[in-house]
Amino acid sequence: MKEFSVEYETVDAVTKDGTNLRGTLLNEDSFTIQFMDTREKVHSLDKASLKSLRKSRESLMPAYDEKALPEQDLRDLLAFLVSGAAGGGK
Amino acid sequence: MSGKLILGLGLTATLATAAVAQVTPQRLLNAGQEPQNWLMYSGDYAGRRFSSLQEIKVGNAEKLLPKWAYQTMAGGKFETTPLVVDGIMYGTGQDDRAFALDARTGRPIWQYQRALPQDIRPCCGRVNRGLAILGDRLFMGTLDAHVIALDSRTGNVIWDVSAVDYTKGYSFTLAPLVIKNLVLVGVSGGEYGIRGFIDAYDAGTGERKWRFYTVPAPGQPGSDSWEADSWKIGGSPAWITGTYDVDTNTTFWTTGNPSPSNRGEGRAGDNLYSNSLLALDPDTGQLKWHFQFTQHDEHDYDATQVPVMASEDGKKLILQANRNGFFYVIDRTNGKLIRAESYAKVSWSKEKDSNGRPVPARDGAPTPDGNRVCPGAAGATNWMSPTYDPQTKLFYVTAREQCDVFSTAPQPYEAGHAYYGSAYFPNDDAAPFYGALRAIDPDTGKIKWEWKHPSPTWSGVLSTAGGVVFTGDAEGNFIALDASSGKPLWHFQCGASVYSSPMTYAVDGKQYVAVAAGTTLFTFGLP
Repeated sequence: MKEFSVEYETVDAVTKDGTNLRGTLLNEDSFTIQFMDTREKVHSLDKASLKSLRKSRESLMPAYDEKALPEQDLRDLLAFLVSGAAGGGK
Repeated sequence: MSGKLILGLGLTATLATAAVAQVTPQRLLNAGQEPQNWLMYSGDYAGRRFSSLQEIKVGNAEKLLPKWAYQTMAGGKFETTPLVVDGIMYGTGQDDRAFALDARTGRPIWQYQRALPQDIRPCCGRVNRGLAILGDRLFMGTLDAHVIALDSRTGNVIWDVSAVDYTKGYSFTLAPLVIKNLVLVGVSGGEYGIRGFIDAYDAGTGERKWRFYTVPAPGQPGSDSWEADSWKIGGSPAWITGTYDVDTNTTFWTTGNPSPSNRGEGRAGDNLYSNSLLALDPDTGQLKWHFQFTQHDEHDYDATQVPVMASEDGKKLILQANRNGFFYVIDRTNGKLIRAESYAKVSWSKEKDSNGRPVPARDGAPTPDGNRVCPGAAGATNWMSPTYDPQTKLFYVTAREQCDVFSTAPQPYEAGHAYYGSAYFPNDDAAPFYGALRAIDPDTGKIKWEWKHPSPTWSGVLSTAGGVVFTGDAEGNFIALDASSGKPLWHFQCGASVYSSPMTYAVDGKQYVAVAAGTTLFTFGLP
């Protein structure tokens, strides 16, 4: 599991009708919570209306899979990003 | 100095009543007997912020609704606790505004705006926490270090006296305390190398009757707790309203940090009377006794929390949840410590002296590279008022769980300029910071229940005979909780963080609860 700073907490919510929702925390207070799911839909829910609510510091980013992106491709991608080419190379 | 606007000429019966119903010293002494009014900053001389009103109670608090709102139209933190006297509300706002409103409708009666100099030096916002009242006069401390009296009927300035040179970093932000015919104020400016004091002014004339310096000069008791000339710029402001025990004719005031706030080098010693509870004779300003909470402070642990008076089993007590993270119970007849228990995470102190007083740990001081210490510089609590409920016999306080990394570096003193001797940074490596309303049993110092806030908050607390405590949070909620259990009963989203302490009053038999948030003063009541 990858841990990261608290502003990127992952939210797992189950509504009273049993719907499972998962996303990245945007905001919350004592009574409500706002998060964006993996389809980039924003949810704002009353905590009291949920069957369960869990927050974790487990990233929603897919884990690195060498089959999908071989190590050399990964190195090339990193080199491209570090070079600043994507930003115009100023 | 004043720009004044008279509004609401249509107010008739209520205003006429207020004009004749003068606030006497006797009414102030018996404030608890007229719960429809809120006659001083903390509601009564004991500083309990408790009301015997009980129309709003556990069983109906969920029905609370906003009744009216008043907007100051001013940015910055809105920290006032308004007064209510016979249907008229009197409050203050940012940049030294003051106003009178119909407490039933919120309609303005008059508004006052002080013309402040451009070069005032408020360390922590252009704030004001409220007024005091006596007769038909309201009293206010200002950011340019004046004390003024306003006519409660018109907002006209009756007298205006300069207490001290504001360009040296002095200001007033607190609500004054009236005792007999005197107006007591304590000065702000602990971040500017001031020499703190508490003043008393004649309510009729504005003449200063006494001044108690919170940093003793050479030859005075306590002066040996300062190194060389460090006392001259020793800080120790007194920027929160005190309390008053009529039985012993003693007024209790608390003081803030020694200067520079986060560097002890150059001011060796305990630095009396910084971070202390002071028992003063209100007639003369003479010190009866003192109790210092944090000796030789290097973490900005001001003791400027209202010293709450309570009586248990015949003992006359002062209760204080201190910014340094300990809850203190003190015998208010002699200043002896009865109990000190931590109510939040603490690392600055790891042991107590033979009297049970927590003492600084050797490894707790700020360092050039930074030292992580709990609580952080904003404290385990701060100036926002706690409340003591004589029904539950619990003390409720806003707690802040946050640690900081404190660093320090030499800094030459320059009059009127910030004088910290350090920097500090939030640190949540170990655990995210958060806030909580905590109910403490003064008999044991143990926490009976807590209501967690997502982040540290700056709201005070109000308790009522209806069994409901009210508080706010940094996320903008104003919240009602069951005083016995901490169960949430109701909440309202104010749209901005709550930086004030709530109060309650009644007009025509209907109870209202008021709190300031953002630029707005909100009131709530039952349908």
